[in-house]
Parts: sequence; structure tokens; C-alpha cells
Amino acid sequence: MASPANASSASRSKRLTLVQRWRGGIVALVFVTLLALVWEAIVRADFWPQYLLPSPATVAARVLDGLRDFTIPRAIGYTMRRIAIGYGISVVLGIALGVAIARFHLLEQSLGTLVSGLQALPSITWLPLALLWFGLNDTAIIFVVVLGSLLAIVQATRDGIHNVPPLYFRTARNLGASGLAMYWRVVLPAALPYIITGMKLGWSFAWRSLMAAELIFFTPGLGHLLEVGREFNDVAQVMAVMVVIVFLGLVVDKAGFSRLEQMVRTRWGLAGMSE
Amino acid sequence: MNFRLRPQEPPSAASAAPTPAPPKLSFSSVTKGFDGGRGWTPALEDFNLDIQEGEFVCIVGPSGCGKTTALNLAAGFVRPDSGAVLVDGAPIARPGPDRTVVFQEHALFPWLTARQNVQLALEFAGKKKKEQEIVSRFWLRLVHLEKFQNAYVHELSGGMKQRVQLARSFAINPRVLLMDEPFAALDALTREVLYGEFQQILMGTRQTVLFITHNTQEAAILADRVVVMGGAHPGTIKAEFRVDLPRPRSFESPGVAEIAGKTLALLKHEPALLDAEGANGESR
Ligand SMILES: Nc1ncnc2c1ncn2[C@@H]1O[C@H](COP(=O)(O)OP(=O)(O)OP(=O)(O)O)[C@@H](O)[C@H]1O
Ligand SMILES: [Mg+2]
Repeated sequence: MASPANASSASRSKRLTLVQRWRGGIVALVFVTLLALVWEAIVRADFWPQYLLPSPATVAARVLDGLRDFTIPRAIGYTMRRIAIGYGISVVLGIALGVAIARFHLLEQSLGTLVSGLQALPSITWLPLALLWFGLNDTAIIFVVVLGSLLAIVQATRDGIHNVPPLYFRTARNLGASGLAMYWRVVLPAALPYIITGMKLGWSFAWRSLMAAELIFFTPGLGHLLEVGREFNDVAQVMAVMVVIVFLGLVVDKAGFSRLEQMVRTRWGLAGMSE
Repeated sequence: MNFRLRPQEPPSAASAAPTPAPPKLSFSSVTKGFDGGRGWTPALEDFNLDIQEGEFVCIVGPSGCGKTTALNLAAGFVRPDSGAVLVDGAPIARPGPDRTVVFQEHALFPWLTARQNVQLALEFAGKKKKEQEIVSRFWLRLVHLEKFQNAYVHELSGGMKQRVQLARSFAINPRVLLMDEPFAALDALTREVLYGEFQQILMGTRQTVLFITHNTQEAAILADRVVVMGGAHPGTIKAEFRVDLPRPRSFESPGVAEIAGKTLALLKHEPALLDAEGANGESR
């Protein structure tokens, strides 16, 4: 019969990972503090002039200033809007293309090969083309972001579908699933762990492409704030913006993708048994 | 509603009575082979087997004799090279929910809960949301999983997973239920409990079943008719006989051990026992 031991051991392991997650956070915090101390020590040793290497306190103060006078939040707003549009297009288009490539042999041989080939191109190399096609505007930036992240998502979706256990296809066909229902209810969910990994990778590519593009374009955003810092020889501002970029990237990765990935891996029965 | 239990009657009654209707499932001189390293090798050759409505047929045989091949032919996963596989007299063209398969394991979708797994099968069958819910609740209660309806697959034990598969298969009310060693991965105690529950449902539904197993005791407990296969490339039917013991049966039921012993002897191909049993069995 049903044993309640199952359920209780499951919830205990959940609590255990919560403790471990906390421990991870504490270790990270201690590490960052140590890093700041070393940084401070180097600054105090006066190897470099302060205007080239400002102290962590100065940089932190600059972050706070930026937050208070709203330059940083505004830049984040512009940047986030671009990545939301660009990355959103990538996810929708990438999954659709990945499914199509996995489904149709002809596409696999043509488009599939193209996707593998294009992945060799760093996304920023699309920038000159984007400029010529769209001019100096947001469309060009979003184009670069899409091309930066699209291919990773296409590839992951295709791989995910190729790795769906054959028994799932068998079961679905046996239960009478056909065409669209089969893809929507069985194939895509089965491939989801791969797709999420692809989306995570795609996100980091999109983020990098966007920063690179914003550095070069004269348009409001975090990358532009960096560029402004450079123009005014303001190392503290450059570093402050870098800290913000790192922080945002970490938050999205840890609070978003890593959690989602963990949840899906557990539910899909892929989580490691080693704990 | 398709899930209402029919009144109980002895399982063998229908098959014993002379019925003019075609067999529920019929293999008619079926040959099926595969291209392997040594060219085409037959897995089944001139294979004949009829299963009547409401009958529970167990195929027992050594590994590699073509049991799964026979089941896959009935499921429509593979097509015969020659001969025909018929359900209600009509040839089988493709997999379909009228011939539901209960697999040995890993056939539930892990992103769904127990109940959602059952509901999905009903959704594929075109049932409305409300009916999906009612029917899946009904069957999960019948396999004693009402408390685990909302558990995800990774939270279920092996026995519970097979119960969900049973519920899913019965819920869509197939013409024939196809089962390929569904309890082989479970321990003896869990199996015994499942035999009991499974037979209770069978006595109510009179579901037609083709069941494959290595386990002679399992065959003796569950079958109306045991089909013993042997050999390989191709495998053949060595003997078949009826099991007319009262239900529900368990390991301890009188007669079960004898039937299991007889099956084992037939499997091992002991000529002396074969001759002795030949009179009341239908040895070939
Ligand atoms: N897809 C396939 N390709 C090639 N050969 C196959 C295939 N499926 C089955 N065979 C061969 O057909 C024969 C019968 O296989 P089958 O799976 O039906 O055996 P089985 O009786 O179910 O064995 P087991 O009890 O081990 O499950 C085996 O010799 C096997 O090698
Ligand atoms: Mg088999």
C-alpha cells in the first residue's frame, strides 16, 4: 500500500536543500566581503592613483548616488525593455524553429546545419549588418540580441526533442495522441529540461550582446552609462555600473533560471541521487 | 458511462459458451522478423492465437521467444511481414487507444500528477474536462490512490506507478488491454496486493486482456488461459491450457501452485510431464 514514508522523506530532503542554499549564500557573502577587503588593501597600498583604482567604498557610494539620482534605474529600465523584447522574440522563435527542425528531416539537413554553423559567429559581429539594415536605433540593438540568443535556444530545443525517451512517443501514440496534441502535451513538456537549459544559456548570450551593443550605440542604457564613465575618465562610475550589471545577471540567473531548472529536474526525475 | 462495473459473473462463462462473433483479438498465421547482423531473422513465424471477448490470456515464455513482438503487433507499433492481426475482425493499422498498453515501467509522464496522467489519456480520447475529472477520480479510487491523485510521478512508488497505469488504461475502456510484464519490476508483496486489486477490477469489467510474463505463478493467478511459448527465431506456441480456478486467486489459492508447476514443466520442456498433462490440457 501507499507508504507515507515516501512523502516525509521528500519534504525532509527539500528542507535540506534549503539549508544548503542558505549556506551557499553565506559562503558567497563572506567571499565577496573578503574580496572587498583585499581590494581596499590594494588601494591603501597606493600602487595605483585613486582615480584609476577607486576604493570599494567609493564605488559603493557611486552606486547609491546613481540609484538616488535615478540615472541607474532609468538605464536599467531602457536596458530591461530591450532585453525583454529581444529575448522574448528569441524564446518564442527559437522554440518554434527548434521544433520544426526536429520534426522535419529536410529542415534538419538545411536549417539545422545553418544553425550549427552560425553559432561560430560571436553575436557582436552582427552589429555592422544591423547598423546598415536598421540604422542607429533600438531595432538594430534588438536584432543583435535576438541573433545572440536565438541559436542556443533553437539548438537546445532540437536536442531536447531528439532526446525525448522513445517510450513517451510510444505511450502517447498508444493513447491516441496525434499531431499537435502530441507535441503540445507530450513532446514539448518532455523536452522542457533541455529547453530551460537552452533558455538560460540564451539569456546570458542575450545579456552580453546587449551590453556590447549599448556600449557602441549612443542610446540610453547600462552600456551607455559605462561609455559615459569612460568619456569623463570616471573610473568609479565605470566600476559602479559594472557592479550593477553583475548583480542583475546574478539575480536573474539564481532567482530565475537556476530555481526553475532545479524544480524541473526534480519533477522530471532527473535530479541527482547522490545527495 | 463507460466505466460502470458490469455485474459479476464467472470469467470463463463467455469464452466457454459458443459465440459466433469474431475473436476480440486474433493473430492469423502471423510472421514477423527483423533485419539483424545475420540478415532477416524471424521472431514469430506462422503464429496463431485467438483471444475471445472477456478472456484473460497469459503468454509465458523464455526471453527472446517473441512475446513482446506479439504484443507490439497487437498494439500496432510494428506491422506483420505476412498474415494478419485483427481486433474485432478488423486488421490493425496503427497504435490506438482501443488497444491500450501497460508497459513495464517509465510510461507515465513525470511532469503530470497521477490524476493528470489519467486525464491526459481521456483528453486524447476527446472527453470533456468535467468527464475527464470524474472518470479519472473514479479509477484512481478503484486502484486505491485517492490520496495520491495530486502526487507527481517521482513521488510515487513502483507499485503506485503501475496502479496509475492500470487506472489510465481502464479509464479509456479499451477493447483489449495489452500488458507486457507490468509487475516484473515489483517485489512479491506489492505484486500480491496488485493481483488482488487487478482481479477485483477484472471481475467487474470483464476486460479482455493479453498479458505477458516470465512468472509462472503470476500466470496461474491471473489467467483464464495460459499460452506457453518456446524456442527463438522463431518462437512458437508449445502448449496452451485453460485455468478454471475460482477468482479472486492468490499465491495460496488451491490449484495455483499446481498450475504454476505445470507451466514451469512445459517451459522446461520435460517430455514426461508434457505427456501426463497432455490428456486434460491442449498441448501441441
Ligand atoms: N526492433 C528489433 N530489431 C531487431 N530484432 C528484434 C527487435 N525486436 C525484437 N527483436 C528480436 O526478436 C526476438 C524476439 O524479441 P522479443 O522482444 O519479442 O522477445 P521477448 O519474448 O519479449 O523477450 P523478453 O522476455 O526478454 O522480453 C529476439 O530475438 C530479438 O532479438
Ligand atoms: Mg519482452
